Amino acid sequence: METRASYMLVGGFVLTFLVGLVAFAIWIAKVDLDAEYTDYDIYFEGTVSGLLKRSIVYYQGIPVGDVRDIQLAPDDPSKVLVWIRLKAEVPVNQESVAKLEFQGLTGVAYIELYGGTHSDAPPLKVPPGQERAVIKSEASPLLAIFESAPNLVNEAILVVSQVQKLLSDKNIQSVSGAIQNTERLTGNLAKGTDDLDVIMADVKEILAQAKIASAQINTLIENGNSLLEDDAKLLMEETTKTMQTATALLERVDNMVAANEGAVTQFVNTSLPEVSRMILDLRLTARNLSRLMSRIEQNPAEIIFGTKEAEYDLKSRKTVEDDN
Amino acid sequence: MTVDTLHLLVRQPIKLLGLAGCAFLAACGPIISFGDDGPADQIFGLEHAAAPSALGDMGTIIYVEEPLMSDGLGGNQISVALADNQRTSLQGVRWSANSTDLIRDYLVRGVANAAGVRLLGEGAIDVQAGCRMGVKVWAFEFVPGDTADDDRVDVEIEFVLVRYYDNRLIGQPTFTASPAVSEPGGRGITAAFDTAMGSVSSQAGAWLREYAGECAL
Repeated sequence: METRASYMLVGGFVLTFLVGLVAFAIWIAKVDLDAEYTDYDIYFEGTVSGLLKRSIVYYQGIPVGDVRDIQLAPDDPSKVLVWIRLKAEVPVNQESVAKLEFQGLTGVAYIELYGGTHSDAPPLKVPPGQERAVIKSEASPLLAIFESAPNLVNEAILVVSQVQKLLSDKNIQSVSGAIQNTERLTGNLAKGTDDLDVIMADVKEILAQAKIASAQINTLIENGNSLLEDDAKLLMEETTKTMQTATALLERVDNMVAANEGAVTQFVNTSLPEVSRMILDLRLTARNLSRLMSRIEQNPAEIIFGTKEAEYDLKSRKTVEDDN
Repeated sequence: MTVDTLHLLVRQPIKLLGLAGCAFLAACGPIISFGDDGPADQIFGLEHAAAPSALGDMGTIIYVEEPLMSDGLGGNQISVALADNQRTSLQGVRWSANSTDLIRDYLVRGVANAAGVRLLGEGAIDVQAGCRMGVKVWAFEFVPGDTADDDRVDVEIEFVLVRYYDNRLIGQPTFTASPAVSEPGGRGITAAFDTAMGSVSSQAGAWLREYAGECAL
């Protein structure tokens, strides 16, 4: 017997089932068909290790988007370009800053957005030649720590090495020796207490003598003061009188010089050169007298009777004896 | 001498003085020349021919000192230089005054005319001057040659110019002249000395003209 099926009913059932299946899938996938999104670019300096596609983007701790793509910046390989997609209602403007953060020490990275709460800040605009607006980025402190961690470990290893050197057997022996010496010193000090008593007694005696000397110095100073007050006054008076007398004498000399300035000037200008010339003439005269005296000493008769010398005769052109 | 003779001398002192005078004159016979029978000496002067300059700069006055003469060059005698550095004097010819005075007077007039400055010599010791000029005569003598045509005179004079106010030596040049004797005899020799002194004065005047500003009062 042939079954008579209702094709319309079957087809309707199947369609209803398929629509229900799609609705169920959409419900399961939590697809928000009404949601609107905005894409942004973020340029990070250096590594973004731990950040993956689909990593969450938080705004004040609330997941507001995800990472769509990660690649090197086209014009600067030292930077990383991260493409994120945020819900349209997320307040992003020119004050917004993106940081790469990490969840604990596991190394799972995510992007946290800060700022943008001031509504009067200008909104972000798509730069010319780019597809998306760019959010500023800052380096994460944790990232700096992670980056410097290897160096810290190396430094720690170096410190441990130095400590090991410091605590070598030789140094430990030296420290032990120093401690032993200290103990010996303190022991000696304890034993030398008697000597310290003697020293203190001597110091007391010295201080007593210093006290006596101080009293004597005070007496000397008092005597000096009385000397200055009494005898010095007389001395100062005598000195003042002497100075006054000297001043008067100088004034008289000054007046005398002023009164005779013309005569003095004339003497300096005329008489002194004359004296100078006279001295020259006297030198010449003295020289001649000296020469005369020498001749008299050598041959007195020559002065009185003259010398017998030959003279030159122009006619005969020869010397002839003087007959006189 | 008897006692009577002594009494006579004591009582007549005039006669005694007369006798002593006669004895003194007799002793001084060689000193006092009573002349001789020979011809008299020829006496010549040394004088600058030109008239004294009346236009000398009164702001530049230089005092000329008495020349210092080497031995044998001074006095009235005319020195003669013979061979082997022998020196004597000319017979029958002498200067009219001491040669130092003649040279000084000649330079005062001759150098002043050549330099255009005022030079003062003897008699001006009390005049304020800017400089003094010492004069040292190294040669002032007649040099006879083999013949009369070779006779000449040598004059060599060194000048020392010193500024009075700081005693700075401004210059110390030496000038020489050796003209020939144009005619034999005393006249020709003294004329040659005149020529030599004129040459030395001209040279000294040219030099002094350059440094006269250093002696301005």
